Amino acid sequence: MFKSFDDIEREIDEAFEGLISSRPMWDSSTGRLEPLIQVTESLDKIVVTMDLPLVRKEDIHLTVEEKHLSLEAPLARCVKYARWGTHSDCKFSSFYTVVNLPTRVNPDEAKAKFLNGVLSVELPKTVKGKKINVE
Amino acid sequence: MSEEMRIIENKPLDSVKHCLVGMPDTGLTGMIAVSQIVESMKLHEIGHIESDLLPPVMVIHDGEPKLPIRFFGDSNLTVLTSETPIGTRAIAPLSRSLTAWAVKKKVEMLVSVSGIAVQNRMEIQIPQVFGVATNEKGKKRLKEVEIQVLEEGFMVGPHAMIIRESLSKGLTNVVLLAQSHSGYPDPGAAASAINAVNKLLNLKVDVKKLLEDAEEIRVKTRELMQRTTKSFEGMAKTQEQELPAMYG
Repeated sequence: MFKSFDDIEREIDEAFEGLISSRPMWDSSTGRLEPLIQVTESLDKIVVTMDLPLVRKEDIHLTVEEKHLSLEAPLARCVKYARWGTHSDCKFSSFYTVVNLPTRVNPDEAKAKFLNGVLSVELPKTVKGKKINVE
Repeated sequence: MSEEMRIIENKPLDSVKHCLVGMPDTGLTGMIAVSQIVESMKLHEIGHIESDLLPPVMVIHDGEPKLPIRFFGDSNLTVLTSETPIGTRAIAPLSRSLTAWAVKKKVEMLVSVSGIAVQNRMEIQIPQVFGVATNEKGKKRLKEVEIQVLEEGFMVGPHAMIIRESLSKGLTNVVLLAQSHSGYPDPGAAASAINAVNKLLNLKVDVKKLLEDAEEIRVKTRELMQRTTKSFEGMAKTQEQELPAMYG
């Protein structure tokens, strides 16, 4: 049986995620940190949560497209790693990430809340399961 | 003692009254809690663990190379912690060695500190701590200090294997489990765990600084949390969040 384009796209995304998890979660040239993310999928929605310490709700810039979610959020104060490795004075000033979603969502119906430094975004799926009558 | 895991003491202690263990695990709760206890009580490094089963990692502190799994403290309180996740293959040998060492040192109570993932952690202001004990002595102590016993559930990871080895050796092992985020560093849960350790072992470790520094700790432990979550994949860690099969 042929795989659907969505299945192929999902496998590519998963392989890509594997590569992402083995690279550093920071970029000293831009001063950006990558937040920790959890993505859970249920029948009708995808929920993305992110740990965003040192971030204020009003500073969160969140955009959702059908297959991606982007976040940029400045930190309330810079985080410094004064003596780490070969970086004499490493400073970070924001969180930034682009999350590849496992399936298409409806951006118009997305909802987000921010509580105790954790952002939770609920994204209803575009294609929902078809109800089948049980005989 | 397991030959696969060698406990090296800089200056061997004759006996140890209490031993506290906090490894990278759910929410890094145990590791953050015991690290705070080491810092707050100004406990000195007294040893480390060596093994070919551990990742080929050394950490550098103040220009000194260190093994990632180290002991701190003295004959009254010894603390074991790790700066790297313990891989699946190393958990059983480490638990065997640690419990054999605890028996040899006549440890009165081996206390493991960890987190237990809860789905609504975002909404919980002060996480609750639950206890599990391997014998009546441990259960009695939990009751005395009013720590609620975990009645039903699964435990997966280093603290689960330490319980198994303690049961087989007749060692008093108490596990403290603070409600935690599953995949995010949780200093709030660590603060609750420290308060429970204070009651259990009659310590007076202040959690004010930990709570003040919580957000910075969450930023700076992201990568260890990610690596720890990755290490869970080989040990069915998600079973801790499953509903147990219950009959009757």
